[in-house]
Amino acid sequence: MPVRTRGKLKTIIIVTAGILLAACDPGVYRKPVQDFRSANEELRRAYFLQLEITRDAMLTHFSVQRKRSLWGNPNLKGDPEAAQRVADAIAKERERALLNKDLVALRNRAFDTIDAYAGVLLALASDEDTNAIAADLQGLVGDLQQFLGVAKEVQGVSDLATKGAAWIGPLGAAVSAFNEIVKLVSAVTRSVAIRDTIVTADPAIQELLVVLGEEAAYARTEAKSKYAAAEQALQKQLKAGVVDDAAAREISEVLALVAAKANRLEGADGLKEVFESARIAQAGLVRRAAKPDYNELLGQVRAFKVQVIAVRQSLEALRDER
Amino acid sequence: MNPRDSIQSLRRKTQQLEEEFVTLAASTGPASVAKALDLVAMELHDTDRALFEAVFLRNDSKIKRLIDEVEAATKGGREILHTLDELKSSVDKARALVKRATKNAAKMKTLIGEVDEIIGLARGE
Repeated sequence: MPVRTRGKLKTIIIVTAGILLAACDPGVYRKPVQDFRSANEELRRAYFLQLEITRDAMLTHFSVQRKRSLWGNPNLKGDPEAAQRVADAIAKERERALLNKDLVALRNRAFDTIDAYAGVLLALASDEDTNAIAADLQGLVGDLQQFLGVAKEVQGVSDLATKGAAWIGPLGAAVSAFNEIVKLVSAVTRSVAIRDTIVTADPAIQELLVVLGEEAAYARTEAKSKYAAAEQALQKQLKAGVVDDAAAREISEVLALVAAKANRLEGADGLKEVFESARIAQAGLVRRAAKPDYNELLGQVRAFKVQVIAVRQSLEALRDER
Repeated sequence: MNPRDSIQSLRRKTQQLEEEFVTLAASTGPASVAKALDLVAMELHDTDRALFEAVFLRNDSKIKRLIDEVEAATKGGREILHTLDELKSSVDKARALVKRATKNAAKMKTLIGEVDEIIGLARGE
């Protein structure tokens, strides 16, 4: 092929590649997917923090229930055996996990799967692989030049090396064009793969977020219910009568503590809303895959991330104050 | 009634019973009776916790199915990433081959140079 024609062909390939790359640049998914991925990690932490708080609420209620007989039954006043039995029961309950380890492992796996989904999208949206291939191909031309430079001085292969050296120029040009083709094919393939992955995974991702969100909401309702039950039990005991002033004082102290925990939980940001905004962010990815509107998508994912961080922080504050 | 409502209904009954046993244990009564009542209340507490856990357990098969579905949906993307890796690996192998050939050619060049020198010395040059 004449040099000028080759040059024109290369220009055409590069220009075409540029136009097509702009139309289907997988890189536009990078930022929203990164945000979705980090928000998923926050969601995982918020979910398990909620379980910890629910466990605390259950333990609080359990402790109150066990101590009521010591506070209210005059026949147990000063009974060391009864006091020890209650202390042992509370200590045993404190060691108990809220859910068995298989249930916890499966929920972690669910978050891992959402993370892996985002990870695949992110890897597809990244052009690191393609750039590495392009760099290696350019490196290969340089290596060949070095080889031929040495080989032409060696008797027996110098003729072959001279012929080979004549090919290096065209090879360099071909590699440049080939690189553009690799980038183009890679970009188109990766864009299609991103869209396919998002659209195919969407129903399952949405449903997973619904299930996990409902579980978190259920755990939160349980925590509120247990704190409320503990408060009611304490007030009931005060009304029914106590064995002495020390018991009355202890009940009042525990009551203040439980009421404070219940108030803080009431004021903490809602987990259900966060899972709902995760679903909206995923729906945004789907819409982006179907019809690009980058700014809208970025806005949704950012809003989700901000919300989930707020919830995680308020739950952490609750846990730390326990 | 759906299973979750059934569980919640059972829990309410269990919690009511637990509360009654605790209230009895906390009122006047011999220590042995209070102990027995509290033990029953703790059994009821365990039952309530098991029912709480049952709501999560009930979701397990659904979560497993959804995990499988998401993993299957990412298979195509993972294959493309694997292909890109393979392509990079092929170019890497080609580069390694050329580098090895260059090294061997350089050794040959040195060897031939030494042989030429020996021949030259032998000729008295």
